[in-house]
Amino acid sequence: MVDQYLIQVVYPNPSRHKEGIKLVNHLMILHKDDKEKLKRSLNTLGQMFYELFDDYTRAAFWWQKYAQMGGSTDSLKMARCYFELGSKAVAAELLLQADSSYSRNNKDLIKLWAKIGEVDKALEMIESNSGTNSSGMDRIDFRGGRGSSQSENYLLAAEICRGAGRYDEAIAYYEKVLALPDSYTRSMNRHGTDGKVKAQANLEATRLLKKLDLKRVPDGSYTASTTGYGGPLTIRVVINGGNIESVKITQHWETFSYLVMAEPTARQIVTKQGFEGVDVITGATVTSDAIINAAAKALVNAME
Amino acid sequence: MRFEVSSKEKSREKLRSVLEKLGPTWLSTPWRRFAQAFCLILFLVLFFYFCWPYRFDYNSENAVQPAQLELFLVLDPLVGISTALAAKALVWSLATAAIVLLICTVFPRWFCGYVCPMGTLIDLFDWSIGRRIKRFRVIKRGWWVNLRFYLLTGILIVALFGVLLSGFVAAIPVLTRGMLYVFAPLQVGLLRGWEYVPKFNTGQYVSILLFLVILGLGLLRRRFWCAYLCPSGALLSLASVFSLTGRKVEDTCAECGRCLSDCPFDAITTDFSTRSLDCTLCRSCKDICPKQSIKFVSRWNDANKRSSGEGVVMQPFYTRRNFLFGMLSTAGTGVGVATGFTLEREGYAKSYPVRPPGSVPEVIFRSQCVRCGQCLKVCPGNVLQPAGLKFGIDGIWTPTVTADFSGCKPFCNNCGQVCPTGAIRKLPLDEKRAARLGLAEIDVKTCLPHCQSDKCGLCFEECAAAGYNAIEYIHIGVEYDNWGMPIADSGFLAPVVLKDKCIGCGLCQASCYAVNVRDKMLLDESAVKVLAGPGKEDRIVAGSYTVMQNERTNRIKQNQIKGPENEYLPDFLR
Repeated sequence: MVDQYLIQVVYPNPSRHKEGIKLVNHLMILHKDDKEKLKRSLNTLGQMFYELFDDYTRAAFWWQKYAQMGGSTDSLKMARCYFELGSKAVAAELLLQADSSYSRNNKDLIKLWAKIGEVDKALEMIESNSGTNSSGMDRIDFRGGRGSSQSENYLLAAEICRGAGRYDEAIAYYEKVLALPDSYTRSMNRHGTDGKVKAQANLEATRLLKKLDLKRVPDGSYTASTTGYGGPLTIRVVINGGNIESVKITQHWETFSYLVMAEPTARQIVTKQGFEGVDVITGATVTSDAIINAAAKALVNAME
Repeated sequence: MRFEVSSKEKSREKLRSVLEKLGPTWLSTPWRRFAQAFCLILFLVLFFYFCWPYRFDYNSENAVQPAQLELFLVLDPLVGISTALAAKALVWSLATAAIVLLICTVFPRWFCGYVCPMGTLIDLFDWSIGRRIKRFRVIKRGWWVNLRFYLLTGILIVALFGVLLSGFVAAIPVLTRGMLYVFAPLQVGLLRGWEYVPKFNTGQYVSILLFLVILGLGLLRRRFWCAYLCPSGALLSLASVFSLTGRKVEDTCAECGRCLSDCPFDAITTDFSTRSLDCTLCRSCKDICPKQSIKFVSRWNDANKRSSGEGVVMQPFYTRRNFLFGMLSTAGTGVGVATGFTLEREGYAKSYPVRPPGSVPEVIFRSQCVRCGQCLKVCPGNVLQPAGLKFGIDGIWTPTVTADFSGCKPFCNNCGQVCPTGAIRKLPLDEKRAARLGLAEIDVKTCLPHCQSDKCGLCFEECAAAGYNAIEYIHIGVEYDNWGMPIADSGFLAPVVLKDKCIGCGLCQASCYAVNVRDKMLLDESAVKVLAGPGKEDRIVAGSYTVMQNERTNRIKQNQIKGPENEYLPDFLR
């Protein structure tokens, strides 16, 4: 019942997030004598802090308690928490454990390897799973078992390289996507975007990123547009005192859920003061990419 | 000997020739024509310019601030007095009515001859069209001469019962409505686009017809309406009974009769003296008199006054008996009409029209709204439209919110500012944003995401952009993967209205209608509708709406789960 309420009401609405945490906290206290219910509450608390607030510290805290009561935590998410807390070694260890228990082809796993700095390992994992199917289809498990294609592999590799600042390699992967035959790059679900469209947009943006030097951008507010998922997406970047002060979406045609999912991307450009290490959210890639591309465009156009 | 013409005389000659070209009355009474022209232009500017163009920027704190658009409306004394009687309240236009009537003690019926834009418009009609068509002229006075007093009495009696009919026939409301239904759509259509012009209903056609009929009466006689029908004029006449100035005829009068046939207000008797109730001191008779025997002086100035002839013909319909009969029948009709309206009103109040924000309760609203149409003009999105007969005869021409067409903008509070009678209260912006017009209700049987047929977030976006945040999502039809985790973009985000935050502005309905009904033709009606009724709207005569909203929110908060958990929460969550 509570899970339903969380999924249906709390998760979609940012104004309800805080309320949701309070609710689960209350349940945790209420059920402190019931072991099963208590375990579930602890797990849910960890999940909510992780997903709704990006609060890795508290998520790790509650998941620890959950593990102490015998719960089995998601190694990937725990690894992410430990990495954010500063402990790359523990994160890497957790990922190695995940390697053996998960299918090696999990996209999130690959991305996380790249995130903690092991970009080459991530690329190697992608490469070793490519080209085993004659029709260009291969299977990288995305948490549900959907297959992926050659183009999706290349796009993933390019994304990882771009996030790591290895722009030339990223560009090379995008060009590989554009060289594939059209049938390989068509999207596999009803709402998806064609791989070539994604590659083209990101290719141009990566070229711009190569040129970008933040020190050469004067203070002020700059806007640029790219194509998002549902239509044009306009970003306004404000530079103050040589630093990126804010990245705001001023106009968009996205559906609300994608916007909410991709919101961390905009936030991270500010916290990381640049584009390295900025997450592209799985499930909202087009929107996230659009935010990054538009911000890059705005800044490069403003460069002196 | 050469006759030197001084430069002063030369310029005066030039002025005279210019005025002569304009017309005989410009030459004889230039000040009157200047005053009339000024007032008409002022009226037109206030009506057309100040409400245009509408600049709306969600980031600005101020919408268009109209100037005193209701200036002419409050100058009409009948508006103020009848509303005060009907609503049994001290409306602020009562003060302006008093001032206008007070001036009549010095300058009788000054409004009619020098200021009233309706009168000026009638003059223009007469000058351009009326004087060329002689077929329908009536020369003699007929049974209609006292109609304006009967109308006035009728209106006041009916107002005593709480029914406000003055707007139907009082001078300025008729004018503003006529302008509104004929010219405002033209203005919007030509300058903005014809798709922005709302559809017409019966009430509007009736109003246009009334306006044209009044103008058309000029074919019977110049200023027929002003002289015989206008009840505002009747009120001004009554106030002029004790006027300090008046028209006087000296005994040099040659009895030629030119003044009699020329007087626009039919204020000259057959023996060439003045009907003081009717005379407006327009001085049209002054220059026509070949003997210059007409003077406008104080009422005690009897020097050289022409004596009244003995054989003054009394017109048969001017007897006291007829007048009494007329008054009694008016009173009777008035009582009958008022009773009928009052009985019918109770029933029709249940039809719950959605009124502008800050409207007083419905029954009082119908007594206080003078149906002038000013609020309809200043509404920037044309959300407010006049009701037809849908809410009863009593509701005709009253403003209603048609959210299918547009939504009430959050940075505008124009309607309350221009209402001359206070039927729509003047509210500051923050109060207006808390005043509920109604409540939005989503029909889960037709709303696209609720039926899981298509993604749609229009109403949510509009509400969030406006700053109300009264719509949030519920995630329905979620699919789960093999690990029991919900799949991120499965299912549909369906909108839900938060009852404590929604004020019924209708922005949601407008966007759903514009896209899903008109553009994409997926639905027949908007899936979210603003409905009025008890518990859904705030209609108070006095008091603060923000206070009411806070109380509502607090009541809801109190019903939520309380517990000792707060001390466990981190600071940012408390």
